[in-house]
Amino acid sequence: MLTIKNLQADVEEKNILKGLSLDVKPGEIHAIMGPNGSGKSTLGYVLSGREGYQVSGGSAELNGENILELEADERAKKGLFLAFQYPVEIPGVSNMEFLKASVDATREYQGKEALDTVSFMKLAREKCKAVNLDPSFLKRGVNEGFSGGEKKRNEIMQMMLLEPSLCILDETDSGLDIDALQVVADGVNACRDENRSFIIVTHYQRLLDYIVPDKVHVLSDGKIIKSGDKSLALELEEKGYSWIEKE
Amino acid sequence: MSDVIDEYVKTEYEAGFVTDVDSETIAPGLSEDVIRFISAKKNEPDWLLEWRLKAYKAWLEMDEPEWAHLNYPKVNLDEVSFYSAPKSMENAPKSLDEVDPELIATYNKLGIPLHEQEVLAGVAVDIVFDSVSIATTFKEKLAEAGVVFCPISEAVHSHPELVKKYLGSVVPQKDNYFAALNCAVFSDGSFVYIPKGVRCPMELSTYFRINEANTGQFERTLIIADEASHVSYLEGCTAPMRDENQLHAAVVELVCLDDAEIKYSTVQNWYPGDENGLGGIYNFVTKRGVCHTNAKISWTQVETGSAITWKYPSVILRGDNSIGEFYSVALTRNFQQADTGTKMIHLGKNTKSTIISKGISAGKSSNAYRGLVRMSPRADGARNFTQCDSLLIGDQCAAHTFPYIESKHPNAIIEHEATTSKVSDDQLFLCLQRGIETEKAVSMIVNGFCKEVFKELPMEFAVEAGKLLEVSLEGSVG
Amino acid sequence: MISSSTTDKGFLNDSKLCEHSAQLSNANWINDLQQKAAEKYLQQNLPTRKTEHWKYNDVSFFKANDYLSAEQLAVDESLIEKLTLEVNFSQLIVLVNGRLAENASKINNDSVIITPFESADAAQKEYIGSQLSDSSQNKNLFLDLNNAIYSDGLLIDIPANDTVDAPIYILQLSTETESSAISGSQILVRCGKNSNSQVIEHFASLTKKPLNDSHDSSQQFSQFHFALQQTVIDIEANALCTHTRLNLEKPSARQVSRVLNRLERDSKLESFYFSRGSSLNKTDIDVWHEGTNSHSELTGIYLPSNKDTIDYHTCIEHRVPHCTSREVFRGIIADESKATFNGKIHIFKDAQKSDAQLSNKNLLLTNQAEINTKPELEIYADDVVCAHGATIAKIDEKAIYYLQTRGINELNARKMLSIGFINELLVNIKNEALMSAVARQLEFSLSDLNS
Repeated sequence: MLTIKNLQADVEEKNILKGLSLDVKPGEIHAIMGPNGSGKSTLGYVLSGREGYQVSGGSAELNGENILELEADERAKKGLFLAFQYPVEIPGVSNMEFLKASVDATREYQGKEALDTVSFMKLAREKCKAVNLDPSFLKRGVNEGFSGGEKKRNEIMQMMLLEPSLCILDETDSGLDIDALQVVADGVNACRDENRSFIIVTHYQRLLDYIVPDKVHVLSDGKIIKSGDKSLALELEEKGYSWIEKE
Repeated sequence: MSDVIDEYVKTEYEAGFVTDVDSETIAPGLSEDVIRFISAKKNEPDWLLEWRLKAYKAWLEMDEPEWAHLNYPKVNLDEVSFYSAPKSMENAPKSLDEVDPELIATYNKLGIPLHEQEVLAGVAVDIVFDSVSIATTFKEKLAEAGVVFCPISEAVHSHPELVKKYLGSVVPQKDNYFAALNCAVFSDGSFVYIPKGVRCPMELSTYFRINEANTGQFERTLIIADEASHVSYLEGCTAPMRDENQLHAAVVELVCLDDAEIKYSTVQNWYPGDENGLGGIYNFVTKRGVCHTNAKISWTQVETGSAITWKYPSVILRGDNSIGEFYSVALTRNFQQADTGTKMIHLGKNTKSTIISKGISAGKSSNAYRGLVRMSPRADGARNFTQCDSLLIGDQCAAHTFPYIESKHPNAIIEHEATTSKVSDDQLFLCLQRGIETEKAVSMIVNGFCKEVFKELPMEFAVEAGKLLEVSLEGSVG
Repeated sequence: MISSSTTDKGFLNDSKLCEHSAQLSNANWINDLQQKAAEKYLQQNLPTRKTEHWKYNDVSFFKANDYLSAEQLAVDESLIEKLTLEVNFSQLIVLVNGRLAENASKINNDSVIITPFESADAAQKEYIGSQLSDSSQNKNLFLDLNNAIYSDGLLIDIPANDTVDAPIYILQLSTETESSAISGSQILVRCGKNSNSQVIEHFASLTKKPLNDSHDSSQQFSQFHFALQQTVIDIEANALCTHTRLNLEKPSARQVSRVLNRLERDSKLESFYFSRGSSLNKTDIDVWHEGTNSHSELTGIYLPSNKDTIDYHTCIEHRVPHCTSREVFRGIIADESKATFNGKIHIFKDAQKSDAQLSNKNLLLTNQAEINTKPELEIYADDVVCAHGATIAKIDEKAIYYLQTRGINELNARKMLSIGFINELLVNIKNEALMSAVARQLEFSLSDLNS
């Protein structure tokens, strides 16, 4: 699914990722944990093609294709989805209009027929329900005036709607209460299948109680310094990041 | 030069002005004789000729204003022909094949039917297709309600008392250079009268008199809403208009009597010039309404065309409790320049005004909001809210805000807010990450930025305005 | 007060002004500059109501022929102490009608060096010349006139790396005069690299009657000098300047002035303006962000009453990228007074990442009072965040009612809420003695509010 080799990236001429390698197979869930400033969010932005994040070395292939040269929207159409830590508000653009444009673009790329408005509405309402969002949210401006939890659920709803092949969740658990966390986890678990992979970026292992990862990696100073199974997350929780960094 | 006109005018006098000609264009330049000629040509009563001449004399003493944030070579009025109507079909393209292909491409993107395309591009079609029957049923319906909707040149004869009473009552002849010029030489325009208590049964639109569009160079519109009446008036077309006149100096006057309401919506998309800033319409328009007690005037405009836009639709809130509104979207690109805004003059008690202005500048264009909110010493309890936002696309463009705020009453409340920013990187990236291409994303975000204004437009108009914005933005992002 | 006068009736006539300017100083280089300014002034027409910059001011009183040049006056030292608002200072510069009053000033050239233009050395001459030449970019012909007629130009040099603990206090007095007279004043402040300084400019009127703190308009309107004034504050890299400017003149005083602030790389300006207004009180404030990463903060309070006027024209120019500016002006306009505020933010082409915010709020107390505000944005770069807001409001009736239910009478309630409206801005004065001095002025100005 995703193969990253020795990836290096700079932000404002500062080297943030310093040779990161990762191999995610179809159907797998990988958790990436690490202290603040270790480069967790940068990884998501670099993979999804955000402007200002310069790749200075290494490679990243999605389904065997180098994606680092592609525009952000092309990567999205190829099935890469990033759930944002802080989803931005777009005043005046309704959620519905936004999602329709997004789904239309993806379907067009995949050579599928565009959904008519009625079927799309039906689908969107269904997905809203799945993440416990009132369908009235579809009429509101994108993230406009949404609470923190609503924004995160909106992200998961979009993920369900777009059916991507690789989902990167950037600290989706931050700022969520336990109920919202459950909703998010249920959404992710419902999307799990053998052809879809997840990279879950998080600071705490809390979310991993609900979404059980196949592998856990520890990111520190732009590199993966330790990998293991889910027990590594528990160990980290107990001993803190300094334990590993010292090792 | 003036000899030529003199001679021409003289021969016309001798001919007695009854010639029925398709095409007449007098020699360029302006003089008293030209005005006499225009007036005689329209068989106008003496009072109107006198009125025009008075305006002409005032105009001679005036200078072209220079305070606007605009930069353009002055129009040489000696080269402008002040009478050319109805236009000769000989000069018009014979078919769409002869029309600029880019114009046609735009029509197609906007989904404009072939017949309408022909009309918009000025193709010599005889009498117009389906809309004739539409126009007929529509005229019957209006007549039933007692609504008068006709060319102002016709109203001069059919409703002289109304025209005489209200013409120049809202925009005085000497109001400004362009208004004075218009008073002297105005060609034609709409006249609307809504009788007391009548709610006009349909949206009135200049579309229905589209075959007269070529008279628009010095258009003059007068709308009178009698007590407790209601009318919604739509002006303009969403497709770029082929037009050979470089200078447009229109005047629109709205008279809104007690308890009446006028809603005036404009979508202006005259030819903006090419990507090098060549050509394009100079649009110098004076639009103003006066509100009597409890009356309401609402201006909504979407301005995407013209090389130069100089336009400040205003409301004089004379009566107590009257309401003025101004909703505007102005988009400039390439080398377009716009200096537009509004004036809200609060004279009466408890008068209210709302101003929402959204400016979008792209390319090398310049876009300015200029506004005045004035509270008179009588304006007890008056309120104004103004929100002016500018969006910048590209680092070569400019956006300006010049709001004048004046108050002489302690109980008047004015709130003004303005912001300027570019399309945010975060918003753009969110769209891209969801697979939406840059151009589409920008157009969506810009549309969202304008939503507060679009929602004031009549439904079909709003959809078209959205599309128009999208087409106008094409190629601006990169 | 004793006077020795050098007057010359009608000296503002074309030829006379040039002659006058050409021999004002003992230094030829100054005379050259002044003569040039005189020529520039004479090329312009006096503003009318149609002149945008003077739209809300009437200067028709100004008839060139009526004017006499400034008298030179000595001033009683004992008066000065009363006037300096109980604020400690490191240096005191007293100017009377634009002329330096040496006996009343307390100048020690310990660290900060104060140099009259006439005794400038070669390097200083060059510096003064370039500052005055740059500052001649303006839209106000009275500033050109000032440049032509000022007598005692002063250069205040704050050395690099120096921290001046107590403020430099500049007291400018204008005196009563029997016929119309005009005076000019020119002050350059150079804040050296990494320096940290405080500058207070205080304008007051000197009557022939005993001084008291009253701003009483019932007394017969006497004539004061028409005071023209310019201060240039040049803040070099990484320096901080805290500037306070107080206009506390008598109602019949007239002043047209300008403060030009120039900010170099990483420098910071914190300024505070306070004015009670007078029959003409117009201050143009220019801030030029000329070095990246510089930051300016402007705070202003205006409280005109009776028939006074106040006009602040501010223009913040972001000439280079990555600068921030913050501007907050508030006014309470009472009686038959008039206030004009014009706040412009100008972002130059390529001044990307500029962040500029301006807020102007006004309370209008009567229907004879008048406020004209015009916040402007002129923007030629795209990656910017600019915002301005302006409001004109009245005191919240609900709040008055609430205070009344707590036993406070209406007048006091209004006063309380008015002070509250302004008080929020006082925290921007970091010097405590100065803050309480301004607070006293504020209370005093608002004490006889009625509406």
